[in-house]
Amino acid sequence: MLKTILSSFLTTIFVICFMSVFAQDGNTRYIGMESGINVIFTELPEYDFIRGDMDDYGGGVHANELTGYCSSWYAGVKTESRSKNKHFGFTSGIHFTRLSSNLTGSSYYSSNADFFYLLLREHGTTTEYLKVKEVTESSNYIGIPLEIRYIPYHEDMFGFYLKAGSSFNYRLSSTHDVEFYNDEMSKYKNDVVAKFEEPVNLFSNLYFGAGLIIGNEDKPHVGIEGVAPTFVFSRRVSGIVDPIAGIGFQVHVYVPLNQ
Amino acid sequence: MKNQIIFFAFTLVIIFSGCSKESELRESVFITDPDHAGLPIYSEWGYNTFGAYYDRETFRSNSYDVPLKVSVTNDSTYFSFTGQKGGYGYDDNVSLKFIFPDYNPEEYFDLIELDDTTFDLVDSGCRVRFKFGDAEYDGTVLEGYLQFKRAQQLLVDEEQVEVILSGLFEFKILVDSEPVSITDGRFDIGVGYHNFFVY
Repeated sequence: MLKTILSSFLTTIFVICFMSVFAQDGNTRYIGMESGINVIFTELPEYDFIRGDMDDYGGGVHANELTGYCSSWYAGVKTESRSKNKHFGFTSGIHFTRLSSNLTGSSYYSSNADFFYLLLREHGTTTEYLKVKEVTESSNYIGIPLEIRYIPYHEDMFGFYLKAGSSFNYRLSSTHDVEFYNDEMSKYKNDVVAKFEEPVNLFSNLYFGAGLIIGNEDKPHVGIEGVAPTFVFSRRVSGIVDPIAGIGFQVHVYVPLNQ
Repeated sequence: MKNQIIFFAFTLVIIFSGCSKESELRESVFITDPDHAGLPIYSEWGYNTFGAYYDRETFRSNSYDVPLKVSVTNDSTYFSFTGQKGGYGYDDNVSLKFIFPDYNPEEYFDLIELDDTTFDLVDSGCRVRFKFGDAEYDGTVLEGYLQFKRAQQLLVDEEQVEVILSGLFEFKILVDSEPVSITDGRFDIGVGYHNFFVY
């Protein structure tokens, strides 16, 4: 709830600022391209169909450990409008994001056992497990980033900035892959995928960052920034892990439209 | 002759499928029951754990003793649970044996017939034996039961691996003339080639 309120508040502030600055004559405007990656720390849902899955902080000993990993890559185009003193930039655009997540298993007892047991089905007194090495999910999103940049310093060929932003993304498609310990079990791929939830169609995030501007602001220039942290607001962005927060890296190129 | 070869080949398939190297399934997954301190949860995954209260102490499986051996000998079947008594240390090694006369499964997968079966430990003729270190005691059961809530034939990647026995037990017994209550007992153990014996 707090995250939703915070996201809505920041979005409202941004839209007001963006509209007011964009409406003013004499502001410098840029158009540019960006691309970046994020590594996202995750939580694992409690799966009732994986043997030995348990809360890490619960008491006990487990034979297998599940590991979740999530990362995203994005690229897009955006436009920025600067305030008259050039210290503030308001940015928006459109970007494509590919979010990849995977789930793997490993054993405490044997370094060779890089799999986990997944309950396939139960019928009568017969129970069937599959040995699964990895489940992978990739989702494609189209989104709108809204960002505010504060540029306290820019002299000649070098500048520095701080950034806060949020993006709103809609899922276009998802694909899954399953790697089995025994290749002959690949016929059960759809059964395994069906065990996991579908990712949600909409997700938003909030991120902060700091970066360097390389080049003259009045000419095409490059920005290199570290993004940290990134908070993922929506649950079930991935169907196999719960992305929480992450860090990232971004590069962009801006071209001034007017001087 | 041809039939004998087919029978021999079939037997080999059965034996080798029974010897499947699912060593990971022999390890214990001990998930603590939040409602019963020191005991594992009741589960049906073949976690190779058991636990009960021996009066006020815990008696439960550990990571190094085979938690259950099923032995068929002398027209009786022995279900031998081995673990530790007491919450700390590993020096109080204890075995609890349920001995069923006139029950003789030939293979471990015959144990599937125990699915949804409850034995009254007084009326069934079952004997209960405790072993503390080297001292072994035949107990006199006053009342109680052993319930196999579920017996599952487990297939991993379509190969038969083991039979999972999951259940509950609770009883009162005289051990060396001392009355003892065994309460909140639960087990969830895979029985396969490695812990099923006929001799």
